[in-house]
Formats: sequence, C-alpha cells, structure tokens
Amino acid sequence: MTTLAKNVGANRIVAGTKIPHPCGDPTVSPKRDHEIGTKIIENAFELLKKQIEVPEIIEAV
Amino acid sequence: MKIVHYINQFFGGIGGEDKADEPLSFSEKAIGPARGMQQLLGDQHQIVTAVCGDNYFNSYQEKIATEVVEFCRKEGAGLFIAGPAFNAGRYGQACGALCAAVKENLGIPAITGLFHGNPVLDIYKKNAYIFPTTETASGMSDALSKMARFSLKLINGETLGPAVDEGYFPRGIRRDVFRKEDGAKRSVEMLLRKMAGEEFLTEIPIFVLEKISPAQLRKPLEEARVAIVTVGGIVPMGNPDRIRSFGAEKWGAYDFGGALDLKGGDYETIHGGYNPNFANSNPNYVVPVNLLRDFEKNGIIGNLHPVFYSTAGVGGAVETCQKTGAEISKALLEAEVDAVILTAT
Repeated sequence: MTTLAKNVGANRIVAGTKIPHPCGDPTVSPKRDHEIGTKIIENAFELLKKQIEVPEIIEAV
Repeated sequence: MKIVHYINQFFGGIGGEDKADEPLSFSEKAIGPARGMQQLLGDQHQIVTAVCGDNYFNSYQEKIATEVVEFCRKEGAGLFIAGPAFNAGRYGQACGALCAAVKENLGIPAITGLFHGNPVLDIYKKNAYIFPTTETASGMSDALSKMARFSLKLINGETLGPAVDEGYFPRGIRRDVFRKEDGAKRSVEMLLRKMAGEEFLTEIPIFVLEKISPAQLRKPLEEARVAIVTVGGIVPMGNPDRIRSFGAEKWGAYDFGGALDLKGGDYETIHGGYNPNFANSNPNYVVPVNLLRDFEKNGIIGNLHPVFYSTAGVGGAVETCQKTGAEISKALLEAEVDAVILTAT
C-alpha cells in the first residue's frame, strides 16, 4: 500500500506490518512484537527528521 | 407556469452597493433580468420577482429563505430562478442558498448562473441547475438564454440529457444508460484514440490530485510535540461520535491523558474495511500510544500529544478526505503539534 500512499500525495511513508495491525505483529512473541513496532516508529522518525524534497518510502522491517 | 425569479438590489434597479441593505420585497411584475427571462419564456408563463439587498440577505439568510419559500408556495410556483450572479460572492451565496431552500422545501427545480470560479459554486451545485456564465454581467444575455432554454425543457417535461449536453455544471449524479457497444470495444477504441493523440471522452473522470510539497520539521525532534492521527477508525468504545464505517465524513479527537497505552475494552475500531480483531484486542496496533511513550520516555521526542485524531478511511471520497485533513490540521496547529504519525489500515 506504500505505492498507493505515494500516488495520492503522501511524502513520508513507512511500511507497517500488515493492514489489520500496522504497528506490530500479534503472531510473534510480545517481545518481538514490541521490537517490530518500535522499528516502524523509528523509521517514521528517521523520515520526519530529514529534509526531503520528493516522497520517500521506507519499506518493511 | 408561474415562476419566481430572485434578483438583488442592483439588478432590481434599486441601487448599487449603497443599497445593499435593502430588505426583501416582492413584485407581481418581472423586473430587470426577470423581464429578460419573461421575454425568452413567452407569455404563457408568468414570472414574479423577489428582490433583496446583498447585505440584507447575508445578515438574515434563514429568515429570507423562509419568506422566499413561502412566496413561492403562495404563488404556486413550478420553477425558481435566481440571478444569474456571475462571480459575485454575496449575490452568488444568496442565489445558491435560495435555490437549495426552495428545492428542499417545495421540491420544485431551481436554476441559477455562476462564473466557474465563483467560490459558492461547489457548495450549491448539487442543489440547483447552475449554468456557467462570464465573470461579469457582460454575459447576461447569453446566461439568460441558456437558463431560459433549459427552463422550457423543465416546464414542458422534456427528457433531460446529461449535464454536459444540457450545459449546466455537473452535479455528480449518474444515470444508468445502455450503451450500444460493449465495454471491451469502447475501451479499446478509446485507447486507440488516446495513442493517436486524438480527442476522446472518458466515461469516468478520475479526480486529479494536487502535489503537496513536503513539510519540514521546524525544531529538533527532542523538542517536538508528536501527535497520532489515524484513518484506521479507532474510537472510544461505543463510537460516541457515530463515525461511519464506510465513507465516513466525521472525525473525532480523543483524549487519552497520561495513559501509557490504549486498553482493548476502552477502544474499538469501527473501520469497515479490515479484520478488526487485532485492533479491538490491542488498539495500540493502530494508535501506537505504547510505542510512542517509549520514545517520549527516552527523550527522543519532546512529548506525545495526549489527544489522537481518528476517522475511518475506507470508501472516503477524495474531497471528503481533503476536508477532514484540513480540519484535523487546524486542530493540530492549535495544539502546537510539530509532527504527526499517521497510521493507515
């Protein structure tokens, strides 16, 4: 869905885990789930801190 | 047929800007553009006129709408005409609002004319047959001709074609028709014309999106207030704001205070487009309060804004989403939010 986000005008795009749970993975251990979610948010802040001119996407963790 | 035609103080011959406070009045005669319309429609139909100052209308919109509707009812009007108002703001607003009021209360058709750049056009184009006009009244006779020709079609009960044929601004209403040739043939023909650089008419216009330049963070992340926005439809249990599951037009702002995470029983998702089980058990999967609290605790961000903003994104019309985005942005700016994590499902 990241390509769709780019096509409709989003500029900083981070791939989440899955549509029903973008910020983590309920099928793995709580510790791993937390790690995955944290990495996704880290990716988001990496883009937020950056001065960007064109859309940027960070793909799946 | 009896027709009521609304005009402002200027076209009613009362005066210019100095007479914009002129109260509403009615006349059994056709005045100004209404007289032009009368001549075009012929004697078997009678036009009576309603005249009001643009400022007066602006100050008493509801009262005047009620009185004009009553006048139409009393006169037994079968059609309502307003303006044309060209690019005038107040006059355009009056024409649009009155067309909408008459249509809603009496169910009779309403016609007006506006310049394509008139900001009230988008507000009222669904409530009236609005014909494109020039920017100024220099195009009066052309506007009246178009409006008169269409009025006669309505009066005589003729079958109407699509907006593009009848000449008014499309209202977004689609009628089912049968095409002579099947879709495969039509689409290949369209493609061949497109490839040859020839003109073709699309059957479904695709909304063109404007490019948004990236915003840049205006302070170090460690000092930034970060807020969560979601289109995943997370709402307090019970959906107090009654946000729709598909094609939502509303959004909500939900204060979670100092909570370290969102609890499953307190929140739910009402988004109709994905399996809700994970989000219902753990709303943090869509509104990651728990994760952001860590970043706040570790000083990576300044603070997590204690309110998240939510709507359901599925089936959202582009224009609705743009409106929602603008409204949420305003709330974010008022709350002095510096950056947003927006989650989508």
